[in-house]
Amino acid sequence: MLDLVWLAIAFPLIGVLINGLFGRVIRSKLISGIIGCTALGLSFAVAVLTWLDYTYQFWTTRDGPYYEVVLWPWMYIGNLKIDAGLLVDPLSIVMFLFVTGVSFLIHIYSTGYMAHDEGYSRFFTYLNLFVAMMLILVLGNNGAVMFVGWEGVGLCSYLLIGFWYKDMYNANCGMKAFVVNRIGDFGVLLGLFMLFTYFGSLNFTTIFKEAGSVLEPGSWIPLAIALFLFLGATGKSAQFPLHIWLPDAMAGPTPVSALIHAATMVTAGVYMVARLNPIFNASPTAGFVVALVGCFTAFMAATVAMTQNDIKKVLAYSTVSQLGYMFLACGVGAYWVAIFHVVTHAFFKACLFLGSGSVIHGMHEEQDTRYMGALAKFMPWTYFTFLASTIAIAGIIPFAGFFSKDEILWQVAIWQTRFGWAPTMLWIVAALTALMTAFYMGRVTWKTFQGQQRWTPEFVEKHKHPHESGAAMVMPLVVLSALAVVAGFLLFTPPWLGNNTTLKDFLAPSTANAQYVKTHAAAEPGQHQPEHELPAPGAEAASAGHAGEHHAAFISLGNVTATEIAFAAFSVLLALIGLLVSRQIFVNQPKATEAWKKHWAPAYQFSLNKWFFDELYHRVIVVPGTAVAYACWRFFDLRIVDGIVNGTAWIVGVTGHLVRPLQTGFVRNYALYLLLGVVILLIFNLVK
Amino acid sequence: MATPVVIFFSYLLVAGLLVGVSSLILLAIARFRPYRRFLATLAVLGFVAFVWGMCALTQPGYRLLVCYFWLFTAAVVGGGVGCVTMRNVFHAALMLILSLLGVAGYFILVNAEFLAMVQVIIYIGGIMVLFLFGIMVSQNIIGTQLKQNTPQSPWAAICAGVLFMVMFFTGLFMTLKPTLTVTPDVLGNNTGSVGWSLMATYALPFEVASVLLLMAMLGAIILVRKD
Amino acid sequence: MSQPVITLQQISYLGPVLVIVLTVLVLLMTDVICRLRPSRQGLSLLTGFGVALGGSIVALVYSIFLWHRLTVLKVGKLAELFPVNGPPRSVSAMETSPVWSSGTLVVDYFAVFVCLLVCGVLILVCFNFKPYLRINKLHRSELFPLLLLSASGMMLLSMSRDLLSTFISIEIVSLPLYVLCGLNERSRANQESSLKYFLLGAFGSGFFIYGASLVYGAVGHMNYAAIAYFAKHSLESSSILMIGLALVGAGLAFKLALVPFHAWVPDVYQGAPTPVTAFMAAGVKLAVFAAALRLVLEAFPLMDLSFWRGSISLLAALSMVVGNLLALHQMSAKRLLAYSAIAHTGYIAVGLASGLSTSATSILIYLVGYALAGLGAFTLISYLAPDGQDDIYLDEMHELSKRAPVSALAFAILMLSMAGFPLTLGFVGKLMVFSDAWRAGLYGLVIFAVLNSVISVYYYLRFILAMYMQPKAPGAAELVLKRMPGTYILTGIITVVLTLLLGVIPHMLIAWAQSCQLAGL
Repeated sequence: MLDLVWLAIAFPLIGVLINGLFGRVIRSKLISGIIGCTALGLSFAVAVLTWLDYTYQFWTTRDGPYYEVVLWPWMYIGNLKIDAGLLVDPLSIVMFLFVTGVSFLIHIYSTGYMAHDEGYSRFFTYLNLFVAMMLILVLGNNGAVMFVGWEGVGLCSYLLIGFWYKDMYNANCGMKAFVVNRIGDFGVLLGLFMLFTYFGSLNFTTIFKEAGSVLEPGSWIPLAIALFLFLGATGKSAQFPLHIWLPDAMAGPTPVSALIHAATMVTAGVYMVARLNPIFNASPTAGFVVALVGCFTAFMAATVAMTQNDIKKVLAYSTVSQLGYMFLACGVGAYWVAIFHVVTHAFFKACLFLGSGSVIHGMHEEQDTRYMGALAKFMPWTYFTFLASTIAIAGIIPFAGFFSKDEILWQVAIWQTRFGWAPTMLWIVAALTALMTAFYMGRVTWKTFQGQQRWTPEFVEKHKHPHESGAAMVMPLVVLSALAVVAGFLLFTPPWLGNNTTLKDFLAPSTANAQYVKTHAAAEPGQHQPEHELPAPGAEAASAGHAGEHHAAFISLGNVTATEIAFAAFSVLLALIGLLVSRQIFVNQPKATEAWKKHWAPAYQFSLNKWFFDELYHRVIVVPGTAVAYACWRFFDLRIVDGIVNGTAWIVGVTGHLVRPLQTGFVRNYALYLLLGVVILLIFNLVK
Repeated sequence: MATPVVIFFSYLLVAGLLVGVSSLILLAIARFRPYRRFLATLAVLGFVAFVWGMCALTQPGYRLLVCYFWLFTAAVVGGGVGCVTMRNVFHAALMLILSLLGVAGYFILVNAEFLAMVQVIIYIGGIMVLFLFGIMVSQNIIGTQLKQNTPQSPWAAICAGVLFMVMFFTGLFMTLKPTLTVTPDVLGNNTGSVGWSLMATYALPFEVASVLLLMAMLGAIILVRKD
Repeated sequence: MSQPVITLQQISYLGPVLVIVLTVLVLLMTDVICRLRPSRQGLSLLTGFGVALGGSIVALVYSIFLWHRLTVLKVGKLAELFPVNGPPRSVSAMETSPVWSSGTLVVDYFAVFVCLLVCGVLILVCFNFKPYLRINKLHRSELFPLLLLSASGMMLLSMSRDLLSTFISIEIVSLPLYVLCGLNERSRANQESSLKYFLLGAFGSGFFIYGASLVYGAVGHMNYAAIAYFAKHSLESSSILMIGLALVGAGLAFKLALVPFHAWVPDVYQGAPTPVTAFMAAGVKLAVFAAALRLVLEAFPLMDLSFWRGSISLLAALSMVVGNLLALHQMSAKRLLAYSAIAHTGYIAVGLASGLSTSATSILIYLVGYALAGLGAFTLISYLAPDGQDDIYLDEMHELSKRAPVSALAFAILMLSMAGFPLTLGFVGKLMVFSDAWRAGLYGLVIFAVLNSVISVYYYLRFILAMYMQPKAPGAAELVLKRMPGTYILTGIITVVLTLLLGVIPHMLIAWAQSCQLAGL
């Protein structure tokens, strides 16, 4: 089965071909939907079979964790040898499973959500294409293939953001995403070029194998590579300072927001960092930068999410914030935790987005929570699934979010680094963010489903009351919320599966490299020992860090230390406080908020306006850029394009103060250029 | 080879020729009638300078040959300049014939009598006569005064001047020795050697040229046919 | 005097050319015979198309056969036709035995590969012409003979190793094009384009032949081997040879449309009938680059490097920047593609400047990618163009993705290939050409070229934005979509599928093209 992994990519592509080429011929929405969903279902089946095959066949007889499938030699130019190949290892299998699984559910959901849209088959074409590209991204065995997927998912993302492109706003949002992502792609390309320069190959396995010998830990080379790659990750995963596109990307259809801008594509940056972890490990500074940026983004986005009114905007900023958590985990070297959070986040955030889609559907395109309220009794399914996911993201035991987020906080606390003050500060900010997360998620849930009915008069007049969505939309919600409830148990070993089947152990071969390098680096003499201000985790951290080498006893349930339980209890407490306070405010005393808004006006405006990032970028980048572009436009268009002459041609020429119109349309002028060219050539050759 | 003296006389020769020929041409143009005295003086001065330069540069035994060379050069250059400056199409065509005749003269000077004949028969006897017929048969062309002044002409003049200077100096300082490696018997049998190269060495370009002609014919027919 | 003997077998190696010329004669004769009928109607469009297509396919098969023969015989070349030899006359050390020997025409991997490509282009252009003539109500049965003649010139061009045969081949390529540009006597644009092309083409040819005569004067031969030998053994550098080669280069640069010899391109490309534009963009570029490659890679390697590399780099840089800047704000699709053609010539010239033996491979692959993208794009333009306009403007393309999704997708893919997007053939070509130049040490030029191709993405994306993202402006003209003629569909499918397929799996094409290396004589 491992050799047939490519089938998982082929199925969605076949779906693309059928829906894309014959979509207009088919005309039947049912068939288009069935084709799209079937392709994904088959893809998911391949994922499951691959996983089983890997764990039960390959795992036992392996030499290393990597199984490479070379499909064909792609580019052999000089010493550049790139195969079109796929890499099956625990990391890619985890991504593979949840990407296909979540995509499958969202496809089913979309059949209901897009039922009344005219671009039905086009939608499924893009969606299938997206999944194929995402699979190429996560399964590629070298940087070039990954980059193909990277660009491909980006392309699909712009297409889907601008899906309703008749609305100029949507088209502009697609454009914004495109432009911001170009900056990131520039970073990825430079990173890949540097990788090729130093490794002579883009193959991941080669890079893993030779990272120790090629890269000198702590030197500028891994730092530069890592920072370039991370620049790409900030673009794709919407981290500060390139986070501004994601909230606007919510202009696309809601299933797209759920699939691309919450569950899968935006986690590509996290995946890339985890995939190339040897590079990041070789440079502690880069790891620190990643952690810092992640933590800051998490905090910043959480503050913004607290005041947004648009239900999708809240979720968008929540996504940015959660992605920040993932990068925080990557930055402290806990890659498997980052991936764990990617998975759990995919479940609950997809569920939340789909839930919000269901609400929007039920409220007939109303997105503003100020005009909702008391939807719980009209949309019970949506409410309960939404609530479950809210509890999950807030981090109440035993929901999925608790385990992953708590693990991130724990890993931050026990992080061994030479930046002495960093773990404490990061931990405090991250914990604060957890509190805010619970608060704003509570806020959006209560405002939407509880409290008083604040529906607009027009809505009430037209539709009387909201309605629950159909089975096609509810079913995925239920499945996803169930996953959001139980996914945390991936951390524990169910007794009937035997040993070493927890997520951490499963991922260890892909991310272990990291930990070994890290431990060695930390053990070197002359390194600063971590100076923790919190006395208790400090002592535990050292022992836990060393315990990490021999199969991390401290995660399996029996060996949890008292400190860790204390930490966990603390974070549950934070979550509970957040949820309950928000309930108190938004269900019981909705009037009080108005007074607070006035009282805290500067802070409120700061948060409501998203820290004024858009305005800042507008002033600093867009306005001067536009001025330059305008100047160019004046120069080229107004000076060069004179109009239509002779009815045949746009007469174009470079004028300006020095050069006269060149493209005059007169043969004699053209002949003169020829003569001029000959003179230039002769003089260039002879007078030298 | 290129001593200062030689350079000086070369300048004199070429400058004299240019001045002389261009003055003559200007003399023939009605617009410049008011300046005819001045132009005539310039022409005489130019030709004197030219003859002086030529005499200084050539050994006595070759003077007649070189005289012919410059005569033909005058025809080629004068014809060319005349062709592009004449306002009357018919006159321009006649000037072109003059230029082509000069080239035929060159061929004779280098013992290529076959090529000279071909030049006269094909270019002058065939193409140019056809050209003149075309002009005469077409209505309202002979009397037309072509406008030849464009705003670009100074630039064109500068470019052409630079091109000329480049070629001139290259020729002057040319290190390629004008050695004759062709043996006398080949010289005597020039026509035969042309035949050999056409039918053996360059047989293919020769044959392919027939395709070219076929196509030219076809193209001409297509362009003029109306249906 | 040695008497060159040419055998029937050697003649047979010219098969593709002979087949094409023979087809032309058949077409002309049938036309004449048809006109003997009482109705006096010439050859019908369908018959002309059929015979031309048949001839092209036979030539294609013949080329494949020659390729096969090359691989079976395991030789670099099948024949050197009409060999010339001897020491150049002006070399003072007179050896008794000839020190170089070379054919006027040579049939090697490179030539056969170009022949194959030319046949492919020819077939696709024939496909394009049939519906074009029908839709525009042009009953010109002479068109196919002209097209085929031009193609035969292209094949000869790739084989010729002699300035004289190169010149004649270039003329054979160009003359029919002058006529083809003015195909529609009712269209002023066509007539203007034809006349401009003809006048400037004659001027350019003048430079070429003048340069060739200077080279002859300096070397005593016009064969590339002789030039290479002369450059190698002549102790004194000969400025007359340099001037001659520079003028020859100017003549070639005119046909290639390198800046500043480019000025005719926008007017001619826009004014000519769209299939002719496609033929010029795909075919002429291919053939003239083949000639330039032969000249540069076979005659120049031993010459002073700074001489030709500097000039070509200069022209390449100028072409890229001028072509891209002028393309940025064009509204007419054909004119935009014309400027982009100038820029593409610049990129390819970067490969030419690198002058490695592998450059031929890289440039051929680039040319395949460009020819496919160009042919496909022009096909779609002639399909979409409103009646009598023969061009489309960008603002007419808005929302095309909804009205003609397949055409829009195909167009987008071809534009991405032109822009050099990964997974398309355009990317492979760019990568190979630039990496050649990098290996040759032209770092500055490569960086400049990459920057330029980044600029070029802007205007290719304008098409895609127009088709996919921009709503129709109120009152803007709307394209009337007709039923797509079958041959257009076929051309579109072939170009798009090959662009993608060879972009994703290019190793087979690369392997073939790798046989086509050229080395100094």
